[in-house]
Amino acid sequence: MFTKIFEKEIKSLFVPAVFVIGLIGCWDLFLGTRIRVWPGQFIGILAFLPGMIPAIWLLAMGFQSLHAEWNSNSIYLLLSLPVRGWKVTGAKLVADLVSSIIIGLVSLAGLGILLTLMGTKLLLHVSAGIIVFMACATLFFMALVIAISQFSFITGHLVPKFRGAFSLVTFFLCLGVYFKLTAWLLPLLNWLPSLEVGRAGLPTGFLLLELIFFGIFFTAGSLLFEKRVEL
Amino acid sequence: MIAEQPLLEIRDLKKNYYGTAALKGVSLKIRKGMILGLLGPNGSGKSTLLKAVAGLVRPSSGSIMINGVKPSFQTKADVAYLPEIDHLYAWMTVREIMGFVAAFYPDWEMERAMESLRQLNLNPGQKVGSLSKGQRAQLKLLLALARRVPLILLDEPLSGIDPPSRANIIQMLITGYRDGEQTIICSTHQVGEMEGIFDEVLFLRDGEVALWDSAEKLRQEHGCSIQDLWGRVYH
Repeated sequence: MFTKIFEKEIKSLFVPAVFVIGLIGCWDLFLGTRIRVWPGQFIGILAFLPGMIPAIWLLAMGFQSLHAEWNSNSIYLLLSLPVRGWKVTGAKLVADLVSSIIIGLVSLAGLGILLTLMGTKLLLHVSAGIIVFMACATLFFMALVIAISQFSFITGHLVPKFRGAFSLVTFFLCLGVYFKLTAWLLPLLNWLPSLEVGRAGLPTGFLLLELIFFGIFFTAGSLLFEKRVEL
Repeated sequence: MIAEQPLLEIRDLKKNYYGTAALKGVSLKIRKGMILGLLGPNGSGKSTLLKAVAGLVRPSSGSIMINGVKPSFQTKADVAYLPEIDHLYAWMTVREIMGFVAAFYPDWEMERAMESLRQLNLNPGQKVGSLSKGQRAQLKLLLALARRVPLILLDEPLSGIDPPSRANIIQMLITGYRDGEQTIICSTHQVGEMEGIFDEVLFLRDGEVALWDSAEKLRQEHGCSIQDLWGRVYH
């Protein structure tokens, strides 16, 4: 059942994702033709612009994947299915995450190709440990942002008026709470073994907190979806 | 002798939407194997009652029991709900939407669904969004009737549909209904066209049961059709 909803989500995201990937490709291609025409620094700055797209996509799809259900009335079909709320929100979350990762990788690949063509060498002194840590931290944060988006959207549907504004305020409040509590709790998790990379120790407590907050918001959103949402 | 448990039992069901009462204490016992006509003007609480049974609306007070179980994600497996609005994914093809719905219900009968599809002359490869309103209504009903489910809830299945499609839908209901095995609760404004298939009729007025009895008994007692009785109940 999870896979069926996931499959549906992937199909519904396919066309917009291909469109966005096409746009990134066109942008990189265009910049590629300007390498010997425009100053290198200017192209370098422009080459980083598509890096924003995965973040925008992630944020937009976190809300849009649920908004589309209400907008098209397919929420009646979804809520009539004999499935737990977490399977619906989970399938949407994984689909959003997968599409964001693919778009992120495409924009990274485009950037890498452009920089290589320009003769720039990056990431030479970055160890594999840091890359793994950053990849995990980014992945967990992406999942957390989607979970907060879903929770905020669903919360917005529990009030009679100003649902959009309520969702937006809830989103920023939740994000604020996450940042505040992470800053407060992180020193308390110093006893956790850190990931040793060269001379530096990367805080595994940070990853743990990301996962804990993800769990809280995802569970809350899924329970609200299953037990409180009305049509 | 142990009395048979009703398929659906509703006790003093009340539902308020932000201070407005949609249902004001509805109590019902519906047995297995009948078609109940749920009648009433707009705002009488028909859709709210069906949504509450389908588990899409939480009662403010009172209780609903389906086969002795409160509505939850589990009871949704025993209920086929057809809302008045178009709720199918417009970007899916007819085949895709059938496959999607079928995946969630072990009681889905694909052969029966395909047979109905042929009878309706619907192209499985056609996008749901490109179907006419009448075709979409028939597809919605097909999705409900393709299941061997004990309780089917139909909210205005004829609403906004042209006469030939309405006749098709009624015919589908007659042929698709598993007599003795299933219960259908069908809300409608097209009383004249549908009253022939109703075993029982329930009139709702302002969120309360105004009249409820077997269709035959109501016709005999009042000496008129159910459609004419509508006029007497609401005027």
